Amino acid sequence: MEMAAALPSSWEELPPDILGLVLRHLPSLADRVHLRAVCRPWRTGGHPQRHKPLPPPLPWLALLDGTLVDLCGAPVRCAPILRDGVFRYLAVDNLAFLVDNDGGCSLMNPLSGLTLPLPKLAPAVSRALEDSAYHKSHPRKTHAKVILSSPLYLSPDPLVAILVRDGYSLAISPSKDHDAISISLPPERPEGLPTRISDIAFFHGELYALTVYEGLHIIKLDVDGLCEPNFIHQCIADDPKQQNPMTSY
Amino acid sequence: MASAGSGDEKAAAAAMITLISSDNEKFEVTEATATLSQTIRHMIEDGCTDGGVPLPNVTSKILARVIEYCKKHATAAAGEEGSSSSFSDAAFLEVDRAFLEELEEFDDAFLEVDRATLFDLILAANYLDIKGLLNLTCQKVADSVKGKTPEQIREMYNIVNDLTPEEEAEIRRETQWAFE
Repeated sequence: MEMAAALPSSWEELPPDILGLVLRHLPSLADRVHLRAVCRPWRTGGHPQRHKPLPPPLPWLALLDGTLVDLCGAPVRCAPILRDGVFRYLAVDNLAFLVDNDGGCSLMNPLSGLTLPLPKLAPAVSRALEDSAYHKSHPRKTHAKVILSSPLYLSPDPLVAILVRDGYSLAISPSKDHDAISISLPPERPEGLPTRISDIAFFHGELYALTVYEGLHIIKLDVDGLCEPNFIHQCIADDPKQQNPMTSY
Repeated sequence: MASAGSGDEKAAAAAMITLISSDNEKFEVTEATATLSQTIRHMIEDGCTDGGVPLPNVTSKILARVIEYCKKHATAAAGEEGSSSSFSDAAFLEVDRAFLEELEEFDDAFLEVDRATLFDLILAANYLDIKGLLNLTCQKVADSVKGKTPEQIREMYNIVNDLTPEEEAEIRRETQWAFE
């Protein structure tokens, strides 16, 4: 067995592969950033492109006072997110989704302050709200949940889907060259209101919507994020015996 | 893991291997213990372990600890195989759980070492390719840095900050939020 030329003798010289393993055991983005800021070898050795993709860091939670915490409970120290002109924000993975007073939407990276405007989303949200039964009584509580089809570090132009507050419709912002759309699930009874949605998620490129009666719908989108013909398909039927779980609305 | 399936393998499991540390100390271990190291497993498969396995990167102090780990975990692996055939037997599951708990306690106690030993154990686990030990020691490092600032991590691991002021400024620009 050949003798290794020069064995590492101090922690600075920890081989990059091992730094990568340590990073895999750090779920908090803040801890990963701190580890890479210790010294130059750790900075170059811990560079994300040197390793197999790490598991995504823990997402953040947005608190009402304009601060963020990650799911370990560690505060995310960043410039105030709630500045003039912003009336609502939500946490999406490790990003902040901002809604301006005029309805304009954007995604902000609180790490760098970089902002990705989503100019086409506001009209679709307004259309979704026009269809909605309650928007007049809750004019400011509009965006209940925001999700991205893939993290920004994997694709700079992800699809953005927004569950509009009362769950009667969704707004979807497709890729750059297309207008955003708003859609609703078919009503439970003819002439009735659309079936209410309680949660949404992207999975394998498709958008899933869970109804308040625990029915599951797939909303088929093409590569640009546009709806395909007959794009809503129910894969799990509603269960009328289910209690309405939407106590949060 | 070496299974005790065929007669040949049974004979092999009882075979002893001699490991020789960098300071020339000899350690006799069973093949089941030694093959927790992928590096040694490959050497055994290639038939080049006669006359002992020299490990020029591992001191006797560290090799003794590594063997301690491998002995414990080789027994654990053998125990798992033994009980898998009677998975429906609640008594066996109970034994399994007790054994896993004991193994966890062993791992915790095993990691009660100073930073220099931890460092040498990581390098040895990496060199000998012992996945469980590498994972365990990296987890220990990760746990120790959680919630710490870069300066606290440097102090803990005796690391000199060799970043230039420009590089530090760049890191702060990229990730201002993490340093307030």
